[in-house]
Amino acid sequence: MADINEDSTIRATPDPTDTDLSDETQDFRFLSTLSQTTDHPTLPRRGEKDFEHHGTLSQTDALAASRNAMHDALSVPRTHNPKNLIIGLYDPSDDSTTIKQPKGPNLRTMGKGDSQGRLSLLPEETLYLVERGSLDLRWRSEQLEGIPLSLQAAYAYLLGKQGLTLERYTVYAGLRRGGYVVQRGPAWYPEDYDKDLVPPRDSKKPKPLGLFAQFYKSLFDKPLPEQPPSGPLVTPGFYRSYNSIYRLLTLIPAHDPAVPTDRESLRSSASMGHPTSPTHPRIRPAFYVWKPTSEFKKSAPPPPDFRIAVINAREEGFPVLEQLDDLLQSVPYDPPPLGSEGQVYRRVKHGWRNVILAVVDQGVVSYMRIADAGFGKEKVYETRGRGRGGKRGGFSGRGRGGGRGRGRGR
Amino acid sequence: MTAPTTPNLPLPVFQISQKVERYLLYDINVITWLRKNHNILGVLIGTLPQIPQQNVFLGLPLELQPEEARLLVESRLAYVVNDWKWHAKDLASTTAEQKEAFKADLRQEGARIAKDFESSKKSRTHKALKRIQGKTNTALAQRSSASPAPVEEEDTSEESLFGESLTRETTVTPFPEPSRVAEPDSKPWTSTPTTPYPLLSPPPSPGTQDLPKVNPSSYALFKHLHSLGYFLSPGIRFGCQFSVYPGDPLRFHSHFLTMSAEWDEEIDLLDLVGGGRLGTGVKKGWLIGGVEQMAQEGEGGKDSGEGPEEGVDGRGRVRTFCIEWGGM
Repeated sequence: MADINEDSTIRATPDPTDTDLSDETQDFRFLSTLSQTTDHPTLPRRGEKDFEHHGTLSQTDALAASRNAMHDALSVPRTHNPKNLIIGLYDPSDDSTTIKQPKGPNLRTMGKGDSQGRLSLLPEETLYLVERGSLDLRWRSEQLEGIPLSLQAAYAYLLGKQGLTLERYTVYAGLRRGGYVVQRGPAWYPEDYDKDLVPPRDSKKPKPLGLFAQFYKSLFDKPLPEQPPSGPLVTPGFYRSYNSIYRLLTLIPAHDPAVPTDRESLRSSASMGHPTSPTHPRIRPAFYVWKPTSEFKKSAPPPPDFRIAVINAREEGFPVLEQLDDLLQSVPYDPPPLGSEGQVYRRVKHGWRNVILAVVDQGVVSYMRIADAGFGKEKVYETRGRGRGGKRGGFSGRGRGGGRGRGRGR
Repeated sequence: MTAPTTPNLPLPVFQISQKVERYLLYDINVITWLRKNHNILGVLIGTLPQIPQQNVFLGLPLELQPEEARLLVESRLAYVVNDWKWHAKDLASTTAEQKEAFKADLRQEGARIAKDFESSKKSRTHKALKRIQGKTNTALAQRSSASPAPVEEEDTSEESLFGESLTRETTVTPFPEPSRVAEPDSKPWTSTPTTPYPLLSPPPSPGTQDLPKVNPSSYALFKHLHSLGYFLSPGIRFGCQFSVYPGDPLRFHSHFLTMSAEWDEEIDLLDLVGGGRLGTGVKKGWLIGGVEQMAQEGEGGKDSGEGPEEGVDGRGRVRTFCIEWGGM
C-alpha cells in the first residue's frame, strides 16, 4: 500500500505555484515582462523547454532568440542620472569607501555615518551598490583622480578584503536583491567567537497551581517511587494515571535544549574532531537578516529575524554535531512561541534555537534551516490523554504547567 | 544582437585573490562566445542593473566552475590572471594621456546617454500629450464636460527607458513646462564601465602556468561529458555534483544528475537508492561515473565498449552508469 502512495507522489507533476523560478535557468526573453510592469512586477512564467534536440529550425531559432535576449540583457550599461547621482570614493590604501552626500533608499540601511554626514561602506555594501548601478565609485588617489572603478576593478579590489569571500558576497547580494536588510554577523570577527555565547534564559517558574488543580494533581500524580536497581521498571503498585507509568519508562536521557551543553567537555572530546581543527572550523552566523520594515534603524537594529551562516559546498562538508552545537549555542534562546503547546509539529519545527545555513556551490545558494528541535521535550503521552476540546487551560494540572515550565518533569 | 565575435585567444580568466581560487568573467562577448562555441555555462552571480530587486535573472560577472576554468586553460583557450595584481600593476603604470583619453570617452558617452534620455523623455511626453488630447477631443465631441483622465497620465509615466523606475521618480506632466523644453543640454550622465578596458590593455598571457585546481575524479567525469557535447552546471539544487544538459539550458531540460566516483570506491547502496529515486522523481537519470582503472598489463584489446578513448591523466577512459529507480 505504502508503495502505491509513494509512486503517485513521484509521478505527480509538480505544483506550478510551488516551484522556485530561480531554480532553473530562465529564458531571458521573459525578462522584458519583468522590466515593463513596474507597479505590479509579476515574475515570468516558466518558459517552455525542450527535452532534446529535434533538429528543427524553430528550436534553433528559439534558442538563438533566448541567447540574444540574454546577451542584450547583460550588455545594459550601468549609468547614473546626475539628478540622483551618488558618488563613492574608494581608497585602495585602506580599502575604505566613503560617500560624501549619502541619499536614496538603499543607503538608509547600509554603511555607517559619521558626524560630518559622510557615510562609510563595508566592502560588500560597496560592491553591491556598484553592481546594481546605484553607486558611481571612483578612485580616491591622486593619480587616478576622477576615474571610475569598473565593475571588474570593484570585484578585484573589494573581494578578499576584510574577510569578504565570494561565497559570503553571493549570499549577501542575493539577500539584498530579495529586499532583506542585511548586516554582518559574528563570523567576520573570529577573535570574538566566545563573547557571543548566549546562555538559555532562566526558564520561567511554572505558574502556581490553583487550589483545585493542586488537589487534582495530588490525586493523580504520585511522586515517582524509587526504582530498585535490578527490579522491574514499573514497580507493582497503584497507578491512577498512565503518565506516571510512562515517566517510569523514560530510561534514555534526551538532550534538553534549555540546558547548555558542556562546552569545555565538547571542545576537548577527540572522538569526532576538534571544533577548532582545520577540518571542522567553528561556524558562526555571517549575516544578520531583517525583513524589510520602515522602522529599521541601522544604528540600533532590533533583534534580527534570521541568522545566516555561510558554508562552501565544495570545500567544506556538512557541519558535524560539535560544529552545529557550537553554532547553535551562539545564537539566542528562542523557544517555541507561547500558545503552541500541544502542537508538536509546530513546536519541533520551530525548535529552541535556530540558524539558517546558506550552502554555496559556485554561485548557487541553497538555504536550510537548522533548529535544535528538542524532541525529548515533546512528551507525546502528555498530550495524548487530553480531551478533544481541551486546547490548554483547565488541564494544566497534569504535570504540564504553563508554557516554559515543562522541563519540570525531568 | 549579432553573433558574438570571436575574442582574441587565449582569453584571460580573472582570479579573485582569496585563499581558494575563484574564476570570473566580465566580458559579455566572451561569455556568449564560450556558451555558443564551447558549451561553457558558468553561473551568473551579479545583479542586473536594469531590474536589481529580483533573483530570477542575474547579471555579470559570471563565475566559472573550477572544472570549466581548468578545461579552458588545458585546451589553451584561456589563461588565469590574478585580477588584483594585474590591476594594481597596470593602474600604476597608466600615463596621464591614457587617463585623459579615458575620461574624455566617458564624458562623451555620458553626454550621449543624457541626450538619448532627454529625447526619449520628450517623445514620451509628446506621445502622452497626444493621447490625452485625442481622448479629450473625442470626449469633447461626445460631451463637452469631459476632462483628461489622470489614469492615462499614470500609464505613460510607467514606461521607463532604463528600467530603473523602481527608484527613479518619473512624473510626466501633461503640459510641458516651458523651462524644461527650452533647456538645450542637460548635465552629462556618468557610468560605471563593466571592464577596465580601454584604460588598461588586456593582460598578457603568461605562457605556461599552473592549472586551476580541481577534484581529479569529478574533473575526469566533467571533461568526459563535456567532450560528448553536454552542458554542465553546478548540481547543488538537485543534490549532485553536476546537472547535465543535452544542449543550452536556456532551451533544454537537464537529462542527468551526476556523481563521480573512484573506480574502486565503495559506494553505499543507500546512496544508489537515494540518487536513483531522486533522479527518477525529477524525471532525470542519476548518472555515476569514474575513470576506469586499466589492468596493469596486457588487457588492452579486451574492451568491448565503444572503443578506447583518450585517457584522462593517462589513467584510462571514463565509464558512466545511469541508475533509474524501478519502483516495482
